[in-house]
Amino acid sequence: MKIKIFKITSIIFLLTFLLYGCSSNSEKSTVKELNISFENMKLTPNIINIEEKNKLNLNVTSDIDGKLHIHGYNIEGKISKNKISKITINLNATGSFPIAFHVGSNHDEDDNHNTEKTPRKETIIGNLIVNPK
Amino acid sequence: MMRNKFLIISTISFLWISTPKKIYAHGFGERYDLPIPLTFFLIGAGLTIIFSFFLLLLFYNQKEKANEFKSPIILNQNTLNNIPFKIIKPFIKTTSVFIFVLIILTGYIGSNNPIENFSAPMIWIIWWVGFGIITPIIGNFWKILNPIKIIFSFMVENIIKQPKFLNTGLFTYPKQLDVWPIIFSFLLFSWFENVGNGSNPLTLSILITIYSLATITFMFLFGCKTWLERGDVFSVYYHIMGSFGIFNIIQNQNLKTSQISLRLPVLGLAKLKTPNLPFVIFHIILLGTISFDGLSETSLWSEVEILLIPGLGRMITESLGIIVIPTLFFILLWVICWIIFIITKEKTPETIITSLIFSLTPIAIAYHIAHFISYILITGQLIIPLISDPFGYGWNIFGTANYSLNIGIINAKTAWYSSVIIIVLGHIFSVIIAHIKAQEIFSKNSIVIKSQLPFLILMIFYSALSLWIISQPIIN
Repeated sequence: MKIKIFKITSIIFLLTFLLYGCSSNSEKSTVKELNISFENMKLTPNIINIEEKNKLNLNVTSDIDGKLHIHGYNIEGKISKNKISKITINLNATGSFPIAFHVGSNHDEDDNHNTEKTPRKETIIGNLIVNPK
Repeated sequence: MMRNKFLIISTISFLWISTPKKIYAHGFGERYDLPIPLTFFLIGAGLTIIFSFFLLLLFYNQKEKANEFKSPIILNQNTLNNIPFKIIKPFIKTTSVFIFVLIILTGYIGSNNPIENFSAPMIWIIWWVGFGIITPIIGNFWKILNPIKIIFSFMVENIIKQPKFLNTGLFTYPKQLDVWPIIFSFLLFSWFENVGNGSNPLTLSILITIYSLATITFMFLFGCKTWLERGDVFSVYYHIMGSFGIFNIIQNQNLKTSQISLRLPVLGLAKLKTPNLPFVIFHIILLGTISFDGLSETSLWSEVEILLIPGLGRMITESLGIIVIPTLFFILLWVICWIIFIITKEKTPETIITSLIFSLTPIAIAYHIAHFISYILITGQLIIPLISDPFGYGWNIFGTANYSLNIGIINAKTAWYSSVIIIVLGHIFSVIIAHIKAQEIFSKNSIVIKSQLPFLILMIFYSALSLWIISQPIIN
């Protein structure tokens, strides 16, 4: 009896997994442009909702010099006062990623950091939410 | 008087070491999980209800008790004494002790940043979360890997040449102590995990050293086997979790692995010895803590904190969570067992609670896996660069020091489907175990079915709570 129940349950879940696996999504990726502003230490909009497998171009206007850091993706982009700065993200991972702001520090560094080892002073100003397709 | 002073000084020093200078709740590590959408939550909750009553119907029509499943032995004593195992066994033991020593050393002399130090990710992500996921699937392999046990066995067999300490100690274990040492140490452990400064490498190493020395001392006092069964919280924890797994690892009187057999998943849980009331308390604290670990990352808990922290402070507020949630669990379970007692009029509420307690474990295990599936796959990768640079000195021994985390390793949709399926499966297993345990204590099938109705409501509530927690956005 117990074994029978286990068999039935296993088959149901195996089928569910198979059905899910077969339902592949073949939508093409597109480039999305989004204008955001960072003024008075506030990001507008502070929640960016977007679907995965797209390319996102962020056009950032700011009233302060500094850097925007997208956690998880570890992408850091310089932003300059009264200028439009561009940050490009290939949305290849889903999740909710905090967007942080680092004051000043406009010396040259790689845009794509490999680690988040060194703790720096940062303020979380928003979230990039990448939803699955 | 002197003893009291010593106690006060020790307590103050201990609290100073463990006071969080920077909060890294629940081990540590940033999480990027997306909460499961409402539809997934509703489907999951609906499925738990449907399966509950479907199984109850199946059990109702069951005419006789189930046949025993014969566990095929895959490795017996003779095989385990063969040459390959004579090499593998010391290799496994040496590796386990090496990693254990490395964890302690890196904590003492390595970088103080938890992400740059081997100890914190190894303890909180690989051992606590990772082993907590693998053990219920495979079985209690902690029995083989436990480094403190390996060190103690080596000491008594090869250095002091008194192997009797594996079974008997200098004193008989006091009956009054029961399993209170594991209750006390688990509360402390969960405090460090959720509230204290447990992710700080130095604190972690100090705590591991204290725990290891205390464990070895108690093994000498009461015997290794007795202490592992009643006093060592992690051996007891992995024993329960491992009973869920497909491999049954049996050890002989000298605590050497003598047999490994296959068994049906989950059913090992039904074969665990019926515990006493203090063990039930431990188990409820365990279940409550697993749920609190997730609950404390929700916005609901954030609101509680906003309300209480100004008056009580962060530490007391978070410490309250560790006490309050298991207490609420206990009250709820006790009420349900009283209702079963009133309906069935056959067994006392104490007999019912001790017999049915393990049947809630699959839901807790399922929740643990569902909650941490993305965490272990993404944050668990932190260990890859640390293998090359365990102390955080800038080494690159195996060329992996510059490894960057692959955050796309698991898609949110895959995580959602897996989580819901795992939680529903956990619920089904719980219903089956509860039925098996109820069959053991009640005389007739009709009474068994009656007894299961209130318990089913509790299990549905517990599974729905698990689903609800993973449907909430994580507050880092």
